[in-house]
Amino acid sequence: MEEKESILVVKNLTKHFKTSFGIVHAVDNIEFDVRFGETFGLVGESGSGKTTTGYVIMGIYTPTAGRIVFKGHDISLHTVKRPKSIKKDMSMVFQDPASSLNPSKTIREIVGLPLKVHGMVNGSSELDEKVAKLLEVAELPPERFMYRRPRDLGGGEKQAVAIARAIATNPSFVVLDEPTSALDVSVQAKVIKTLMKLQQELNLSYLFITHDLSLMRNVASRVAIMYLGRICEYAPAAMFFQNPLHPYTKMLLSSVAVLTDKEEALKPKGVKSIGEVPSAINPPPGCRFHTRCAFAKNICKVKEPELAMIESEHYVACHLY
Amino acid sequence: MRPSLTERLLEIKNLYVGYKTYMGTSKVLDGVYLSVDTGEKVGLIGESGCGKTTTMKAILRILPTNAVLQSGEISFGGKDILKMGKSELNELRRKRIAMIFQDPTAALNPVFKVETQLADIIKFSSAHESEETEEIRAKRIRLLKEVALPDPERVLDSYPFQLSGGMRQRVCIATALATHRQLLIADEPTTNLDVTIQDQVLRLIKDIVEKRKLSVILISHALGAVRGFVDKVCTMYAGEIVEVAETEKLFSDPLHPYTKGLLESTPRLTGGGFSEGIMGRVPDYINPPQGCRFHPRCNYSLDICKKEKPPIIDSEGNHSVTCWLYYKK
Amino acid sequence: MNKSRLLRIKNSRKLESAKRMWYRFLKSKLSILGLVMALVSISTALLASLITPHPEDVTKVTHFERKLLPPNLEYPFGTDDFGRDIFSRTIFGFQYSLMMAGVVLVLVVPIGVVLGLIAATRKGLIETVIMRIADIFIAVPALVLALAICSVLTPSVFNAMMAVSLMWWPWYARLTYNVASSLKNEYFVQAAELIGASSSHIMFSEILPNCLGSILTKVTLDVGWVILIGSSLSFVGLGAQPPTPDLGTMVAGGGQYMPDYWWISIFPAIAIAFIIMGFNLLGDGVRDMFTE
Repeated sequence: MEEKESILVVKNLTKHFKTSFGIVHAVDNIEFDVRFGETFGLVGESGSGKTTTGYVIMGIYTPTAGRIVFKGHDISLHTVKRPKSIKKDMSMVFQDPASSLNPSKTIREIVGLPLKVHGMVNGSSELDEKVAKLLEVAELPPERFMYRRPRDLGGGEKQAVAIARAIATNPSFVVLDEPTSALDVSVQAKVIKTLMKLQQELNLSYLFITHDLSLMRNVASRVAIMYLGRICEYAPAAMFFQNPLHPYTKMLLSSVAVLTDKEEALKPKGVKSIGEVPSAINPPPGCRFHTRCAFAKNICKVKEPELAMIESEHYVACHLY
Repeated sequence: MRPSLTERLLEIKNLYVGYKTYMGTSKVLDGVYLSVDTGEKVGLIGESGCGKTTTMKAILRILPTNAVLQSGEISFGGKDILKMGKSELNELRRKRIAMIFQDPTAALNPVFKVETQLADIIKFSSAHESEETEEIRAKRIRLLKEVALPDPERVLDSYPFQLSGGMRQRVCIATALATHRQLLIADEPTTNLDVTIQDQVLRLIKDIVEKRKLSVILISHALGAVRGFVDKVCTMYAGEIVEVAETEKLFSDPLHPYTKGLLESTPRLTGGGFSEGIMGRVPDYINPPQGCRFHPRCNYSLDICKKEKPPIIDSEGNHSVTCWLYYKK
Repeated sequence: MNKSRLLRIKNSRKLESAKRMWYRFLKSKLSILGLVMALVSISTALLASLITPHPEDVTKVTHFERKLLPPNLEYPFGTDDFGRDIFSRTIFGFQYSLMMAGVVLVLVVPIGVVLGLIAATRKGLIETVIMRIADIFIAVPALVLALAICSVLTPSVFNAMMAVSLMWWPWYARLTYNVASSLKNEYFVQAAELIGASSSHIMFSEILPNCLGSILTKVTLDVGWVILIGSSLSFVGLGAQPPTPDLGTMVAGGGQYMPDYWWISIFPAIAIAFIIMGFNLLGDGVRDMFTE
């Protein structure tokens, strides 16, 4: 990984949670990087650890082990311990638009908070101006929305407010955690368009987390797929979808609901989804996917496979390769 | 021409339903027409707030207290549901129509084990209200095996919170099929589940439907979910069915601008981007737009769309659309 | 951007919000009744000096010539064993009771709420210390605790108010702690943390406004409770002392004259019930106002 082109590098990142049932291995020793200006996609189902990864990168959780390097600085700390300049440069859009906006506040207060915290405005009328501009950029007419409260807004509009808030401090990196999963498809299209437009205009780098593969195909330049805390495969988008290697990737792709025969043809044949995700408290030994894998060999039950490069930029962690 | 051999199982005609709120009446359903023949599988596509759940609740007469059934007819097997008495309704709900909901966690009672809940259902929907316990236990295990639950004994002995989302939904499907039914209404049965589990559960529903020759209404907000399963698809917008067609026909040749908008907004696995979505938002049901409810968001709207509600137009056989664009004098 | 237009929009939204809350309040007829009763109680208390027909009877006077008179035109509630007009004293009783409730709540609410917020946001030792102390106070029955505290101090209105305050703050701490703890896990609190907002901003500006509904409901209901506890204390002689026209004291004073001269105890008792009922019904309405 060429560190100079990367805005974010994650090395040996591990996050475990101690619970009364045992230790939850949410994320175990993962490694990837996000390059300047790209959208790096992180795909997985529940229990994969993709959301936890996003949270650790943002500092909502402190890593159990490993390092997070942002623009050359080691930021492997909880957010309260991070310098303000870092907090200004990174932001996040959450999964549930309803609970990511404080219901007792107006849109102006919500979007204005980061501006106030980082001292970017002097006085109420400058705040009005800046918030209005941000709302416009997020395609929300300021006059209609400035003094509304979240409960009056639809899901897509709430997410647009969350986006306006996320770009308020001119960050260079945004983590998007399932930003459109709670939205209808026609609303999702609008929100994604806004995100893509902003990425172009403001030169943003995105870590895009979702379980929707069809969406990922259209937004990400590189995709990594996670299962039970480990990265199984990652590759540039086109390669990932046209030549999936890991059995889990194939299983996930074969389960996607598609609309056309062309898309159907792209789905791996001869693979069917079976079984359920095991508990992260006692992950299966060896390769974590072996309990559901149609191609599991003896070695898979014992030894965890390492990520290896199979073709240019295409990495897989599987004993088949 | 529909062969006269297939019977009309469910028919909704011109259904108007509103909700009373302190700001006025929210006129949600604006003349819904929907029909399901015996053995037919119908998909109902609509985004949030379009009234699809209201319609389903109206069929089972489980609308909330502030709902007003303003006019319309819902007939099941020839009888008008809206005029049924309590005992007829109970029979309808216990033995004729089964419903699977979106959130299996909410549909199961958290303080009772699965075996108790299944036993209750079996007792209430069977002909003999007091079956022997042994029979009930055997029946329960059979049901759970039918929904492909491994280790049915353990599942019976568990509380809902001890099961995964996919397993809970399978239990719900088992309860829905505890007796012979004629119609299955599945309201977004897989939306809350993981993608790989969604696929499994949908395949399961498909199998059961084929085996038991059930008629189905499958509701979803995503078009892909109904493909490969239903015979015909209805798209719903703002309380009205705006288009009905055979599945492949709807996807390849959509007529209504809303259906087109939906298809264009859906990201494709093959890449290539997607549209900017449909501008505007769902109408205010208390003061809905005059004329066609979709016209404020429609790129193709004509003058007449703003004034008068469009009629249902039959185009090329089994494809109907509610839109002025296809009106020929 | 048009500044005055923005201002107009802002004000109309606030009006809309207020109207919506009001509609929710009006849903129940009983809440309206409660509001009326509460307003009557408060106005009586505020205007006491203006509306009493015999203000001198509130102090240490005696008119033995007109003692123990049953209710009549000149003395609508009758007179007591000192010949004092019970109607006038009851009106002033409203003032005393509501004043006590007011003082206690003004002390107790800020302290309890702030402690609850701190306990919810700073987990660990501080949380444990605050909440366990609160638990101790909550575990002991209110009246018993109040009696215990009062009996070691000289009986007076002031000491009664201090005793009640001391055992009341934990309830607000616990209420705020519960609501704040559940809010703490909402995404908008995480978002504020990520943005870099200070912890006092998060406590007071993000979390607290969402607790207000529960707190205000409790305050309204508590008016009745505080008055009840206060009257009970006076009833057993540990609060206000005669000749203070405290309602509880008045009920106690008339006890020995029951049932022949019933009006001495009954009218003050009805007054206590009236105030408590009014604020309880109002409390239901306040809760409805904050429930979407």
